[in-house]
Amino acid sequence: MTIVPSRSEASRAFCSGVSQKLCDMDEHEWDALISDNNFYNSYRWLRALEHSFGATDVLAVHGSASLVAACTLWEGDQASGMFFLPDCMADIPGPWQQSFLWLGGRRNTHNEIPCIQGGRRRQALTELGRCALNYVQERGYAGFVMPYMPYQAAVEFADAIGAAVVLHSAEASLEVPDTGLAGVMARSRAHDRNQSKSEIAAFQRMGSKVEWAAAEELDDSVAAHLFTQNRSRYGSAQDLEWMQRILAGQRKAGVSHLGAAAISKRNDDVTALALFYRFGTALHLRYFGADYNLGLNDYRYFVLCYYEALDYAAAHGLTTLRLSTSALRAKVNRGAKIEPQAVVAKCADKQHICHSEAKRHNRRMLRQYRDQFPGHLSHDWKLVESHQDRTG
Amino acid sequence: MWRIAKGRSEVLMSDNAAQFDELASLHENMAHWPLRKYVEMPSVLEAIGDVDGLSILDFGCGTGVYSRILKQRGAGRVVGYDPALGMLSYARRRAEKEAINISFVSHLPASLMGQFDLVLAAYVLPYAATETELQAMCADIAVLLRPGGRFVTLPIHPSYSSRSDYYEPYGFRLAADDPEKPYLDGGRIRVDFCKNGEQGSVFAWYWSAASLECALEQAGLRSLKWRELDAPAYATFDHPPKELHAYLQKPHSVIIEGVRAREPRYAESKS
Repeated sequence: MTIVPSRSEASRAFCSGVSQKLCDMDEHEWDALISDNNFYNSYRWLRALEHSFGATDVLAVHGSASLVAACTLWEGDQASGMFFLPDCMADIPGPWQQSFLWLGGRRNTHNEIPCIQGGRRRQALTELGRCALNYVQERGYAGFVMPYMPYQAAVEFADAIGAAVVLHSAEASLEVPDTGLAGVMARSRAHDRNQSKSEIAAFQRMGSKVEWAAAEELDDSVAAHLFTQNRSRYGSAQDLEWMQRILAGQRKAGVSHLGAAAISKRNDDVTALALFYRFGTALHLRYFGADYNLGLNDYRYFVLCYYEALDYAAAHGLTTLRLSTSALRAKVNRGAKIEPQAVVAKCADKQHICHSEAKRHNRRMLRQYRDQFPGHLSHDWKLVESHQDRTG
Repeated sequence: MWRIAKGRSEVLMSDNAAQFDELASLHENMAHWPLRKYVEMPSVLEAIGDVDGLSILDFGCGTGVYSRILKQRGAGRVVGYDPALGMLSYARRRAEKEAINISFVSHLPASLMGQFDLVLAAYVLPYAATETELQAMCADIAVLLRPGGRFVTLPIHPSYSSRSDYYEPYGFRLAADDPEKPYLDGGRIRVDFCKNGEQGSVFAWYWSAASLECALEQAGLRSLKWRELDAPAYATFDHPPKELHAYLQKPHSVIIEGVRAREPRYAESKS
């Protein structure tokens, strides 16, 4: 790893540099910078990606005694979709068709910069941004982006590095009461509560049962087969081998150690599987798969991903169920809150992103979500509003 | 080594906690330094004794080195407390990955008062910057113990070596602000970590034996006992590795043990 002193600020200066692989970093040092919600930037998750898809460069900022900020790099997707920059920045003028560097884990739908807490946090973020800018300038990228950031984290990072914040997505999360599903049902609207009850009843009526297993105990080929069926049903082009490679990488990196699987069975046949990861006080839903050849209409997706997960989380002292970015309506109807996500974007040269366009876009998106999900938006949307007003 | 904690003294000492936000991995690595590995930790664990089933608070837990050891040695419930969020984050992640059930907290709710059989506060008292803070800190710790519960702590040794480079072979330097008065009660000492180059500094404060005992007694701790650090794994003083001999002649710290009085202190003064 090349460490270049960033300032002539004696012993308290930060040094930043680029490493060719994550294993140059100390796992525990890295993970001390990761919040419970930022599991997909945790060391083992990123190592698993390395095992599955090859090593990527890592930006790292060090203090005199330890790592203070870092992130992995990748290049986004080259075809339309969730990780294609022209799609993320659809109505903001900019050079989005050009090559941008992506900060964060590969295909992450939740990104925060792994960074120290405390008085020097902003300084560490600024140094990481400076390092990223050097990286893109040296390698001819048009700029860098970090997508799928919680709005507050995006604003903090953008302020520290002089970048633009553009809303582009939203994710769902559920606060888990001590009483699990019963607690969520108690605070739901009558219509939603009745719907949940009838889905659970239908699941049971059809003779389906749920079992929980550690991810380490799963048969990866069965899991990959189910996940691939679900992914292809919703338009993914990746095949079984691709999914198997991911699961093998996770096993090798020790991510499986953090995984828990809710398995739906009928007559001892596995009909569906949801894979979660425990991290701190959060439970992250990552994969769902089902055997669609069975033609069952037993609501196993909802039972595994929400109802059972809530009870599992409560029983294990977990306080948040993280449900990612898709199918927000279904999640909201089952008690989830919607949180805004933004991309932080910075161009390498003088070509700046038009801040007034970005603000107009952010206001428009705020209105859309308020219209679509009234009463289900997290507090962060108020920050979106006040931020656009304050700076606009 | 050199951690920080705060309770009722939280406001007074918030600046001190911030010193440690970037020192988590250094703190963790220190557990492998010969001084800690062969001298301090075995001495502390010997002083603590059997922990089977005990409820223990690691006050100023840092990255949770002692918390993990105590839990693995059979403690019933272990709570690690530290106001430095950088330290706590490291501690939480590490324990989680090692599947060790420890609760780490950055503040001490009232529900924890009087709950512990043992409170360990390693390198905590040196971060009290004034006599008032020292007394507040000891009082904060004492109320966490159940009556009869034990307190084990490591202050700066009242007779530490005042030669600033004396401890350099062991990974750190202690330099009093006023080199002419290294044993001044409440005198500030700069601690430089230099095991692998300059790795950072923190400030600590020197307290005499009399001040320490006074603060501990005022907090309701009784049967105070001083224990010198030694190398329990080695049969005699001459046996530890040669490089530790100079340290053992002039250790920078010492263990003090105390017991929370069974009756509230005001009852004593009334009688």
